[in-house]
Amino acid sequence: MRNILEMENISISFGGVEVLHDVSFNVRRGEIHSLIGENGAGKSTLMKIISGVYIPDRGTIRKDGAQIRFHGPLDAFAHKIGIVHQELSIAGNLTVAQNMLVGREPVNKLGFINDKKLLEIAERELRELGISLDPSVKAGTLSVGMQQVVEIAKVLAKDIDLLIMDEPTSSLSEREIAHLFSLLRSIREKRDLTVIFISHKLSEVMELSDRATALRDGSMVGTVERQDMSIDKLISMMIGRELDYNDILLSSKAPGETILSARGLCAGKKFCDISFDLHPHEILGVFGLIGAGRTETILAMIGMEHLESGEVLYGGQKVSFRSPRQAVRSGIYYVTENRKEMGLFLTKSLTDNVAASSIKDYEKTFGVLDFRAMETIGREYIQKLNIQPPHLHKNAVNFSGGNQQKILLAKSLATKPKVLIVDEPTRGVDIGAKTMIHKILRQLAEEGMAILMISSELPEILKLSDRVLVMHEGEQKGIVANRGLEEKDVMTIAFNKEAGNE
Amino acid sequence: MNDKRASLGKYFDGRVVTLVLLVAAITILMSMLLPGKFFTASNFSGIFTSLAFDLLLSCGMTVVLILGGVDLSVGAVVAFSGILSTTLIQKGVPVVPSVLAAMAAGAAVGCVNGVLVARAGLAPFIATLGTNSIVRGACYVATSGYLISGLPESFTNISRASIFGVPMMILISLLCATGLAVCLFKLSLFKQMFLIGTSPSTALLSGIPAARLKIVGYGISGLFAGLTGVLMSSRYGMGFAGYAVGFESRAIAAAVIGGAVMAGGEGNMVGTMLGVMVVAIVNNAFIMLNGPAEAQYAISGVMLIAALVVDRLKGKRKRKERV
Amino acid sequence: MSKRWSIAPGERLRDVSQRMRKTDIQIWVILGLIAVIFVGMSAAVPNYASLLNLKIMLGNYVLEGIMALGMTLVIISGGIDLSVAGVMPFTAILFAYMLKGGIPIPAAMVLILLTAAGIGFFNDFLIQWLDVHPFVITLAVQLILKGVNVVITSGNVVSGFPEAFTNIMFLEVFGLSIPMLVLVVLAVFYFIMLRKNRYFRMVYFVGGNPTAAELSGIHTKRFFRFVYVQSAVLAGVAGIMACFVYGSANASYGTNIETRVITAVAIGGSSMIHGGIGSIAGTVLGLIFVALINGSFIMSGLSTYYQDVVTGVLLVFAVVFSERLKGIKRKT
Repeated sequence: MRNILEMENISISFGGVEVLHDVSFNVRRGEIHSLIGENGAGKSTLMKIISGVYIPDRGTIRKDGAQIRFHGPLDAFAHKIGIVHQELSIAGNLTVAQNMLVGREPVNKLGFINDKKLLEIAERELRELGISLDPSVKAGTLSVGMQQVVEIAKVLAKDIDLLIMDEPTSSLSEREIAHLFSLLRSIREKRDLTVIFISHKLSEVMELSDRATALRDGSMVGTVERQDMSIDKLISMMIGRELDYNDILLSSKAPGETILSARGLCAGKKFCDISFDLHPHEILGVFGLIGAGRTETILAMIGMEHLESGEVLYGGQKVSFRSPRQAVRSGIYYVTENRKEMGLFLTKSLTDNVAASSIKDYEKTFGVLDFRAMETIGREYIQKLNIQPPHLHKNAVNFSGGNQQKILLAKSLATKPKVLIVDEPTRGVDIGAKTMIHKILRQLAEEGMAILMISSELPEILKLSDRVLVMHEGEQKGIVANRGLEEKDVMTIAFNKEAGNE
Repeated sequence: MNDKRASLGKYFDGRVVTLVLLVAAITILMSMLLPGKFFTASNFSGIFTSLAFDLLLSCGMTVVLILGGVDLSVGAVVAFSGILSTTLIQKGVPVVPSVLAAMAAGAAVGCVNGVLVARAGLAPFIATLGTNSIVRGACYVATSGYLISGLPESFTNISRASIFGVPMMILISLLCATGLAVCLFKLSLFKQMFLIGTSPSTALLSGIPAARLKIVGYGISGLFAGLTGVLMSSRYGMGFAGYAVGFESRAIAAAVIGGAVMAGGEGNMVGTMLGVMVVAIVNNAFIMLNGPAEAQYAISGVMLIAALVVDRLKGKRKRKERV
Repeated sequence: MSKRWSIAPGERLRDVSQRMRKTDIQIWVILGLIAVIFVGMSAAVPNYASLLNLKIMLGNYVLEGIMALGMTLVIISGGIDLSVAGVMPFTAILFAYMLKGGIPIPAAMVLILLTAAGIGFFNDFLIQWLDVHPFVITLAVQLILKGVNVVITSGNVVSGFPEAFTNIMFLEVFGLSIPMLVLVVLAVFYFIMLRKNRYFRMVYFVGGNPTAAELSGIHTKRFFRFVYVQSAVLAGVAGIMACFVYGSANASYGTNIETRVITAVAIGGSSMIHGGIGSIAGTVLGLIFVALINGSFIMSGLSTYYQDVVTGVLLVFAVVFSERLKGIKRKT
């Protein structure tokens, strides 16, 4: 089988950070090839290189054996490459036909669109793709799933033989996904089409693809054929990092009285029936891949997102926070995974960042700030967390990822929370800082804090968690005590139908 | 660890120095061009008189810009508060309660802006464009466009009386600006506003009461506009619905020249005061050089764009440095 | 959920999503309100429903109407153009001077439209280069033009048009004054173009999702330039028409006109928060609505000064309620 696309030694850097390193990637003509990896692994960047949005620093791209060069995103169609972006580009005010034929409407000499002809063309194209949809319907009246189909039809209507789909299923229901897949298969039977399918939902990858390639931290991990594919295999490719078991940091204290409980939390498709208890002195790890609904659950608990049903108990009392502020004030602090956009005040100093959440503590009469107290707290955390360089007035943006994470942690600790919720606490952080952060978290737990740690990194979960809550696609798959737990045990829980509770 | 230098340094960064130099350069240049006419006590007292109102409005605008918003209703609020205070006085209400009522009314309009922005989710410029129209219209409805005059000296003296030869309204505006400068630097309230403007979502997750502080911020802007209205009608001895048309843009320009950023999170009163100074001196220089006095609006428009251009050029350099 | 996938033609009506249905509702609500006002006022005020009175009420908003057409495009594209309040009087003054200077009327019109296009071009250049919200730039440009207007007229009214102009000033075609006719023709033109023309229709894509539009092969930068240029050109047309309406030009024309224009567009259902939504039909209805409301105030013997109050209230309410109606929340 001939390769339709060959990429060799692709590297690209943004602002001195190498996002893709020496990636080589081949796609065979006619296959459905999945590209998997965690957030930040470089999937989308690679896709943008294939579609001409980014120009790689090094490396060659060959399509049908001939080397191609892009000058911009508009060149992709010239090379018969079509992309369905994660973000829909549907104009809701216009009909399906008008959307499908944007930029190539049948027009007369004056630039007026012949709407009758437009409808005919759209009807014909939809029929050829085997999609039964009335093209005169306004696109905005369709479900997201149907809009996705229109988007695909829009791309396929052009003369392309390579279709790239970037997480097309992220906002679809199961039925819609099933429909989409059967549509893709039937189209592939009718015409010469190769598909690159980008996803982090491994069950879909298993179902759909002929081959799968994994990226991790900007590098190729490898490609597997369909017959060798298994969920375990894919996961180990995606996240498989070695765990040093000497490092395990578990609690040496007995857990205290339950401080925070979730009882049957639900919010539509995002997550459902989540229940757990959290105790002082323990770290409860919440494991799941992206899209498991972990962060959404927590955000709903602290009043940032909508909770449809279920209740939250804090210190034995039923609580329903209307904003994160209420949660912070009552001693529950959520440390976000999105450090740059929601975690730090990037253009403000270390001191300001550390003091931001506990600012009431530094107020003297009339709300005058006690700068000395703020600097003291800054200095205290520089020391405690070993923040480098130890500059109180340096802006957060100028610290390395690991130190930014420490500043973020310091901001939360300055409020003296009883419950600390950390979300991917070591993402994008170097090894040294990572080890440090792990030690800090454990020490906090030993001192009596209750910690909930969300992570999609299994080694991190196994190293730190006293118990592990496993989530998968919005469902709670089980809670297990970490007594010699291994990666494959957690995987089994995550992907098996029957839940294994402790 | 480096320390005080850095916090003080905020106020004496490159921009402040640049602005001081700019003011000095224009002064020297103009003194050479017009010897004995520009650099005189009377001309400078004229410059300061003309900038008193702008300075007060820029104070409020700086606060709103720090929050990442904008307040296009200040000009109308000036007229409104002027009319309210003068009407009350005409009706026999004592001066002090009248003035307080006018300022409170200004603050109330500001709070309405804040609620529209922070609670109803309107874009700041749309919300304040709407209230601007409402308040300005209300002024004309209330007065039918007539002047409200015949005010007692106890009222007109608020602006006109002078202490050590300096008119009260200049003193009041400088006092307010300096006071706000200190508050911006010292108060927890404003520190939190800086944080909200820097990153609203971070502020939310950090437990900072963003909506409430936004309402307070717009309220402060309204309060300053209310005070300006009182001083203006005191100075001119009458209330008038057509006061301060277009002043909001001058206030924005002065604040942006002084270092405030439309995207929020930046701004300081020392810069804003110098920004007002630059606008006033350039205006004055223009008039002294026989430029038409009516060109004032155009000059503030040009200066607003110029400030943004300078920011853009500086920002470009910064972005490159960071990468 | 399964319903969404059964896409037999008969079933699609059930699938109509909330947002779309409610955009149409807004238009029906406005139509209903217009009817209510009309009936109510006709009952209360004699001669309200007379053709003459209607012509006067709508005639008061003819300049706003012309500018609202251009503003609709700007707002659908996700922007705003406050400079029109400076362009309109500026071009009116320029046109008056040109005619007084003996330039033939058609030549003067062409020159005016070119000047206006230049201003729009300048707006767009600054917006894209300085990368700040359009309201800042267009506010500054508005201010500059207002200053220029006062300076070039020294605050005086420019009048004394040549006979060639005064002869056509009060012409009526099909019972419509020339400005009214221009408004009707332009409204029909924009209505057709926005529905039928390939280029105009791109505004829905560009406003709805600029990045995606760029990736679908639309030159968004060029398109934004077109959007701001056409808005300025229509403000230029309004400037010329101001000379027809008032028989003179004056720097004080167009005070607060930008708010009235934006209000009409907002009432017509164009989204002020997300681009990509809006229509000419909606804007025209919004305009009629605002004109009738204000006309009613005047007919009720209330001061004309109520106009600004009413406009501001309508703007705030229109934005708050139409966004609520569409169920558009701020992105979380």
